[in-house]
Amino acid sequence: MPQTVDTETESMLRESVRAFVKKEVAPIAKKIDREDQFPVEVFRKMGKLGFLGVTIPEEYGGSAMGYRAQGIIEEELGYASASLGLSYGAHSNLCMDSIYRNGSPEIRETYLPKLCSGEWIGSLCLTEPESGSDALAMKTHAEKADGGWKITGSKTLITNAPLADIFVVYAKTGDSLSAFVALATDSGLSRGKKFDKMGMRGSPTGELFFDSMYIPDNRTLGAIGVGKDIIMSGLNLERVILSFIFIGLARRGIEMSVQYASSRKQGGKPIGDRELIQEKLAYMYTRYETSKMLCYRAVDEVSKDPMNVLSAASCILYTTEAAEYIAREALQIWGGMGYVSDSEVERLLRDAVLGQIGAGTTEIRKKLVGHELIKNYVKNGRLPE
Amino acid sequence: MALNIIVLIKQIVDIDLLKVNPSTGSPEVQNLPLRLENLSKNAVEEAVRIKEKNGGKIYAICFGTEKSSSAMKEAFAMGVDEGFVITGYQGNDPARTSMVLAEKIRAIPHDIVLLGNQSAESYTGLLPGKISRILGERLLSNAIKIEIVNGRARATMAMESETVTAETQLPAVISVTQEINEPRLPPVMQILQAGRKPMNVSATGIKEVTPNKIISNIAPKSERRKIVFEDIEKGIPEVAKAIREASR
Repeated sequence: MPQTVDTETESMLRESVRAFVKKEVAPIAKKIDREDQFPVEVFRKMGKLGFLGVTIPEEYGGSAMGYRAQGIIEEELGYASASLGLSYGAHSNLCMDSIYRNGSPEIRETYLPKLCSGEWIGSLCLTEPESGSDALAMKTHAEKADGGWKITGSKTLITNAPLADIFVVYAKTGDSLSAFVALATDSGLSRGKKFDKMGMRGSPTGELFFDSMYIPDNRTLGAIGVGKDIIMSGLNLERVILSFIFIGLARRGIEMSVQYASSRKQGGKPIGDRELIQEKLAYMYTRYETSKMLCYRAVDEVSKDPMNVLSAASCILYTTEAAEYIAREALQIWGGMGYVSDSEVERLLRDAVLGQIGAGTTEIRKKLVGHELIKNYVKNGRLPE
Repeated sequence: MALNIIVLIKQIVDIDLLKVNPSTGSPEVQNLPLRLENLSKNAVEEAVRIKEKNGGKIYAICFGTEKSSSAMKEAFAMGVDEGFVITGYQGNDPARTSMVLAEKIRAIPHDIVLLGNQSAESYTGLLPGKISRILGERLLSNAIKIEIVNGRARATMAMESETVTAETQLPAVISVTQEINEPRLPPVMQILQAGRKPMNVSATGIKEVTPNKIISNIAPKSERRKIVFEDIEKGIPEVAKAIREASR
């Protein structure tokens, strides 16, 4: 059974993050969205409190609490500002954790402390103009040069790209893929436009261009040619960790719905007394609770085996669909007051939509789950445990 | 000058979640989560700040129950080095509590004893004075600022309508107010270390001292009147009229 109850240490972490979010994030969440501005100072404070490096060992400036702790932080951020949760995920999981899992001792020592403290902001570059879900069809390529590699190509829809200091960049090396660590100061790297998004505003998304960008040999991430494995194991962790944002968002949606349904009166009684509203609340709550159990199970499974596609894909498939459903129903309960742009509930819905698109679309996740089930059955003659 | 600082902490129910039973008027405290009391956090924060400036060691003492280890771990995460949990707390009894705490304080060589000026649960405000008296150590109360200067404690204290600065020799008992600081959020590394710090648990042998009897803790009945003005056309004069009538 998944352990859904926090340990004493996890509970203290959750309390600390919740208090931080209440004080530092919730009061500016609306501004972050309206002005589409990433709260750099808040992010640095998260670094000081040790929230950024929870999967990184102490020797590199982290605390080695693990992925459950990272999930708890995402959940609490997602409650107040899903967009900060998204940028946190791109920094701490997609970029920093990947650098730790795959980097040489020299790379770890040089870059992880800066990322743990929040002095530097990290990003991961996979999607390209012509390759999204089919990431392996990328066109960006690296050519061997004297003492390093020259990378040419472009990336798009990259979270944190407009302000990141360090990037994990995937590129083709011949027929295989490889990962590199690029710095914002590398010559040949330039930033393109920052996208004006429907939701997750404040988490900056942008383009990157590489024009014969030179990366020395000591900044290859893992061996040359193993990029596909790095992508796959990273994607599973990413899918589980990002799912936690949407549990937090769902919790906020339900909370707002219950508050409104209890106080909004129509026909002389609170709308929460109406059975059609109660039905909504019942399904919202049940899907939220199911998402939570799935996320805590998946994070344990994928922590043990980062190649566990089935756990990761089914977790994010369900959790993000549930969050969008919950946000939509919350808006319906709020009615006209929810539809106006001053309400937090409309932001929840705009933010929730990204859940079914980022880190592989819902359609890709369904394909993965179906494929894994058939593959397992053919191989073992039974369903996975 | 390295200082040995003792902080007295209290665990109480989360009063933000406290509800009053609408039919009986009694507070419903059963099954509420337990927390480190807010003023205890101010006292711990001040102890940590004094230690950061002067060096030394911070001990915390909590007179509570078997469940009080979680409050002690919260204090550990904020920076307390060693903790003593004394079990046997049975309810608000300042005479007994001060004797229990003073007995433990005496056993630890110390320069300063810090505590909240009252607790959010009982608001008696009696403990700082009682503990100072039992120990025979000077008391600086309601501190909003504490400095250690030349081996002496100097505190700015909030009185009714003014602030007073006073200085005393050490050891001293200092009670703090909420205004003195903003308690820190524990960083992740401190949270992890909290479980590894030494915590000593023992039961008190001191029996009930004052036969305290709660005469009543029932919330007074309050009826809120609510008037909804649906006819906006009538405007402010209509609202003003209603207020005038209600205040008669």
